[in-house]
Amino acid sequence: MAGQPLLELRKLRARVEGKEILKGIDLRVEEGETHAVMGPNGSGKSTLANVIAGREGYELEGEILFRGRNLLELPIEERAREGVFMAFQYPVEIPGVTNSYFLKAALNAVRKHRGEQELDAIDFLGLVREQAKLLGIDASFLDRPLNEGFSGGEKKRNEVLQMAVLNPRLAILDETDSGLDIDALRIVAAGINARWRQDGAVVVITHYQRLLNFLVPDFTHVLIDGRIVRSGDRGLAEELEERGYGWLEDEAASGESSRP
Amino acid sequence: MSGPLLERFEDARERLPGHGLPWLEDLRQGAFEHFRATGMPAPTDEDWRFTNLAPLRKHDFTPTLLAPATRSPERPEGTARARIVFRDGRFDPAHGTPDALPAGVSVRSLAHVLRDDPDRVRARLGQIADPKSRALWALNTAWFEDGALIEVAGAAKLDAPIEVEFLQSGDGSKLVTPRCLILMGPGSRAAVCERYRSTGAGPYLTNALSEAVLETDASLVHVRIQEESSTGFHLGGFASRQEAGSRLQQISIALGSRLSRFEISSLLEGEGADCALDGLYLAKGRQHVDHHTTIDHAVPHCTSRELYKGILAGQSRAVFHGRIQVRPHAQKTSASQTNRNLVISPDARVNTKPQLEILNNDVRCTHGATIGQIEEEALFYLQSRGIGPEEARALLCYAFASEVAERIPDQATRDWLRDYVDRWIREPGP
Repeated sequence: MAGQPLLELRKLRARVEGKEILKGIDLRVEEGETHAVMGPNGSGKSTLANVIAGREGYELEGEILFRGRNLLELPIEERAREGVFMAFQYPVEIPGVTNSYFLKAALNAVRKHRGEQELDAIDFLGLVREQAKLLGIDASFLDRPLNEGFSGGEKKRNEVLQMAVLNPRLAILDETDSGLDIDALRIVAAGINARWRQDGAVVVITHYQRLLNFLVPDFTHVLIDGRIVRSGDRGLAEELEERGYGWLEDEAASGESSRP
Repeated sequence: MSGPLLERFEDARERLPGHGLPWLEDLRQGAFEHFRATGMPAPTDEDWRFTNLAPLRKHDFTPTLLAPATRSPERPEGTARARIVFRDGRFDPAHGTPDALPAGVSVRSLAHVLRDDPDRVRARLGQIADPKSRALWALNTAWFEDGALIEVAGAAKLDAPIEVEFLQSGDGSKLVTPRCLILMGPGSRAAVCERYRSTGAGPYLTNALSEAVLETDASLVHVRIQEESSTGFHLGGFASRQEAGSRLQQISIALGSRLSRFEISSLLEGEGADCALDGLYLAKGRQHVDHHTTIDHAVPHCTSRELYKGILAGQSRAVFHGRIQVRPHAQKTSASQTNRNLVISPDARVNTKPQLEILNNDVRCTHGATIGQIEEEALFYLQSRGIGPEEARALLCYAFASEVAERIPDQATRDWLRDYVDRWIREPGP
């Protein structure tokens, strides 16, 4: 019996300052699945991730159902507590707050929401050190101010560390591969794979196929000009790697030849 | 308020500490005359453009020695540290003077020293903070009743702060006039923490002034925590002179008082002297908080740095005025000044003004001021990890404040401040 999907987008539209960026997205993500959303720059990939996470400033239509609840009715932090996690394309630097202080505040907010006991400093450090080790992150990383002065790769690893510690049901990785060299990519992907839960799902948003060598998608979707123009299996990702996006962009454009 | 103060001075002078010392009589008389001539500062004075003392006029503040005795402010909580306590500006004999200080360090009541050993301070008192340079320094010099004399001789090194606690009763509309003198001998090192507090609910005025001399290669950390009650006014000053190779770090933490101003005058008169001025101010409700700094680079090869940060809520107002003077022959001067304000309410206001007077070409001088709000992007980032908006704002406010807070060398003071900031942000403004 097909249960409720973990995530379902229904006719999702997003506008910013009168400009339509997402033009009616339908997507179903079931538990245990890995989806890749690919597309050229400016196609709306990051907007899609941000809208699910709850970034403000968009006029939205349609529905984002997460375990049957419409996320559009939930504030940002409630979505996170319910189990939605977005790894930022550009993680924010916050001088003055240490990485571990921030992570502890986040984890305890999530645990409290789940009705779990908040972790004390010792239990928290035990957990976070273990996760850091799995991701090849030095423990000194935890005492540094959040993302301040981190290299691009360190920031991305830190996003994955946060994901590992918060243990979400749905992880959306927004261009997590950019800024990572091949070794870092391998470690990060291994960290995501090792951590992954059966009742969870991953949506990988990327421009390139290379992360997908390590994080194998069950489905691949191509987003062009705010629409999913094609969906397929991992073979589609490989095809895109060979042929680029041009042929799909041409198809998408010819399908809209009535446009001025 | 200045009228009654002027009339009373003649009657009161015999009862002020050090009466009968000709040099002190002259100092007080000169200060008194200066204050009589200038009166309280008014907004027509460029240095007072953004801080109006009109609310003080409604009150007739009475110096502690002329005021009837009132209930004592609460005792400070216990501490293992060297501490001297003043109640409404007068030495608290019940608390006594700190014992067990390292050799070469002494902490005494200035009034006692003027009675028993006045030559000890004659060459310095009133020589660093010129009473004729500012009306409020004149007012303090004419009227001061007591305060701490801290002497640190050459070989002495003391890192735990010497605590100088000024407790105001908030009763009897008092004018409280603390006066401190800190004498750092050559090569000495010490930390001093002045704290101004009140538990009372009535109006009063604290007019405090501290002077510090840092002889060659001396090092002083001077933290000043202003936590007066919301019914109190606080007009404070700090003047320093630094000889060659000395290092001063002055940190102002301005939290309380309905209207406060802290004026700093720092003179670098020996080559290689270094001066760092830091400040953190928090204001909400209708609080007004003003920092007015002057750094005088009188000789070559000195460095100065200023970082003042404030968080403004409610209808509060903050003023920062930073003057840097570099004299014609003070080559190779390096000076930087930064003032950053985080405004968390649409009704709070900030006036910030750098004033650079650089009279030679061979200097490196930078300044910058910002007035900003909490960054939406940072807020989104924290919320996207499950942290609620109130908690996220508190975290970001503390993050902003921490740059200054982390510069306080003393761990216990830093921890206290962190808790204070956290509580302050979460409490709704009055």
